[in-house]
Amino acid sequence: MAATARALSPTPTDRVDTFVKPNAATSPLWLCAYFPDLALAALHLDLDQAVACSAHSKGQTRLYAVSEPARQAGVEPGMAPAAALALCPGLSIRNRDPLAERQALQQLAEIALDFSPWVSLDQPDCLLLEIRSCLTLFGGIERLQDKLRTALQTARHHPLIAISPSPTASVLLARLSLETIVTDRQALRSALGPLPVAALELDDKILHRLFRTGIRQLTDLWRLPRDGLAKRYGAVLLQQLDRLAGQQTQILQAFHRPPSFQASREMPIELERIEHFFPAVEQLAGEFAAFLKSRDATTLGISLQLHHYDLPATRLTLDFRAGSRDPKHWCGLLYEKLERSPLPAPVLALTLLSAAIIPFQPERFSLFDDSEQPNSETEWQAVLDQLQARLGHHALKFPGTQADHRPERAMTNTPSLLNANPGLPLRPLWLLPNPAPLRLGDICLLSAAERIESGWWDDQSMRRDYYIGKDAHGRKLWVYRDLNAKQQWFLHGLFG
Amino acid sequence: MSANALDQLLRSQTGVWRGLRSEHQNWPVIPSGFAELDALLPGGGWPLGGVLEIFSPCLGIGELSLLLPAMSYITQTKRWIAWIAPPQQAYAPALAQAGIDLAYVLVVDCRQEADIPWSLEKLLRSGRCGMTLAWPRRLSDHQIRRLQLAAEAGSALAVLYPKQPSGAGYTALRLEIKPVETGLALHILKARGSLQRASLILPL
Repeated sequence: MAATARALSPTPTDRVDTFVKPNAATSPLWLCAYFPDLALAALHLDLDQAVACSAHSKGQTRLYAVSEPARQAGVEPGMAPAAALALCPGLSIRNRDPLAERQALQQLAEIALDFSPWVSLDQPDCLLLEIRSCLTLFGGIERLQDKLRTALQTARHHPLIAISPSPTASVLLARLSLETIVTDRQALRSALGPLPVAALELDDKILHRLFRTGIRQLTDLWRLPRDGLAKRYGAVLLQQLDRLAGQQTQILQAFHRPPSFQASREMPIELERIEHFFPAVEQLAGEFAAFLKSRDATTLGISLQLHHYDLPATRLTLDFRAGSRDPKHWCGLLYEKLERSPLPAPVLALTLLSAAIIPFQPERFSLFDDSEQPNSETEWQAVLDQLQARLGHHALKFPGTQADHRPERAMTNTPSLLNANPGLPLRPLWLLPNPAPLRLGDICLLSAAERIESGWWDDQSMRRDYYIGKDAHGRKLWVYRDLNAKQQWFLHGLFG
Repeated sequence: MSANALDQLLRSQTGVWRGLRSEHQNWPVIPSGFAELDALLPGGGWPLGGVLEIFSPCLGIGELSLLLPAMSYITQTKRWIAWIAPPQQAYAPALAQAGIDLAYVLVVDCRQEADIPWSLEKLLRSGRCGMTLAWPRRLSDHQIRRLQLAAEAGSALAVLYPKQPSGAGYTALRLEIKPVETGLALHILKARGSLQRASLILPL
């Protein structure tokens, strides 16, 4: 027994290793991507210009974030706008928009979901990703970091990335612009050691008292006994330290993708001509297509809202016959709609909304049959979409047959797979929707009567004798005598 | 003026119809389903990639029956037949009786007259549509020319039932039909690639 156990696990030292390693491998590793310019980028400001955004706090307007060129001119966050303008006359100041920031962060979280299944938006200006589980997939921490940075930068946001086993520590490091990678919990305390105590989220009183006792760095705090710290400064400080060191489990909310898409663009000025604001529509459509592609989904429709000043928004809706995720197709349809419907007023902003989102179904085509182009079906659907977009929702009809003896009910406008009425006498190619009363006069009947007597179970009962006739113009007619209505003759169809 | 220069001059004039181009006849055709008609049509059938104008005095004399074999052939090759704003309701059971696969039949309602040539062009160009049928009230020469080009691009047959004959005629084929006692009298007024002006009576 003991011998087999020894054979299975070679040496006692190895056993210790296997005991430690799973623990290290399963403990989470948190990547924090902090966006220092999120407030500016969310307003779609050009960060290469001197720009800033301001926020109200305590009844005063203060600058909340400034771009790098503005910073070089001496403008700092927290300044009054007037003071900032005095330093940098070309500074353009906008109001901060927390909602737009949240939306921008959500868009970034969408990108981050390509890298980790667990993305958290618990912090207002940074993303937290659990990356331990996906390191193998991306081939190491550095590669994952690089790829994530590139992906976020293509979305025009510049992140500061820090990685550590504790989410709080990652956030702290990233906010302090320290792009550190700490994989081990043991190494975390020494990595955090030189950070200033002021970086902790503590109230000013405690900070002041710590400062007076000569504590400058986190190392100084870690040297002190825990019970004494708790007695002097309260449990909050200890909790903070534990969270930083990763000794307290934190549960972060995972971000899930919303099932619908909505994006807006504000125009810099009121725009009247299609070609001026249409690039923004194309951008939105591109964003939506990327959104669909990352979910392997398609949409059954989109709606575009054009906002005007002091007028209700113009709404354009597209319904697709099959799920679509081709932004060029959408833009073509939208452009055509826009061209044909004059706008009541210039456009201030655009919103693109998705209709139902359904899973993508790849086109089926035969393995051996090369007679058809592989994507011709999609193109045909695109043509039908175009027709439907211009002519209206019910303009396209696909005639089909239905098993009913009454001629009016033998056809439907939905396609049917089978010929529902085989073996009928000849039917006319044109059917009048409403039978026209007729005087038989010079019409000569060419066929024997076909009695149609049906529908006694619903309100549309009929008893008719149908004949094929020919009139003086040489037209072949389908006429009937209504046996219910005084033997009156009617014209019901033309043999075209 | 040399023959070459004359030829070039004639080529540069779009209004000049050159009937004897049959030596370059290379457009695809589909059998009309009537052997005696095929014998008269250049290429031996309805031209795919062309506009076919049919002048008919009224509905119901066989103007559609003339095309039914071709329609059946087209749906069997899995191409669509589009009916643009038909003057009456096309009756699906009758189409099925004629051997047309209803899975490839599309009826388009056009509220506005201007939408008809637009829809025709879109459908003809798609390449998936083998035949379009339309009853336009008026089409200008350049609209017919555009349809002709679209039909060529999509290799489709564009059938028009115009109210009255229009001017120059860029159409590939122009027919006039009249009902007679024994069937349908058919006059070929113009056929691309042939100078023949023939008549025949089809027993429809």
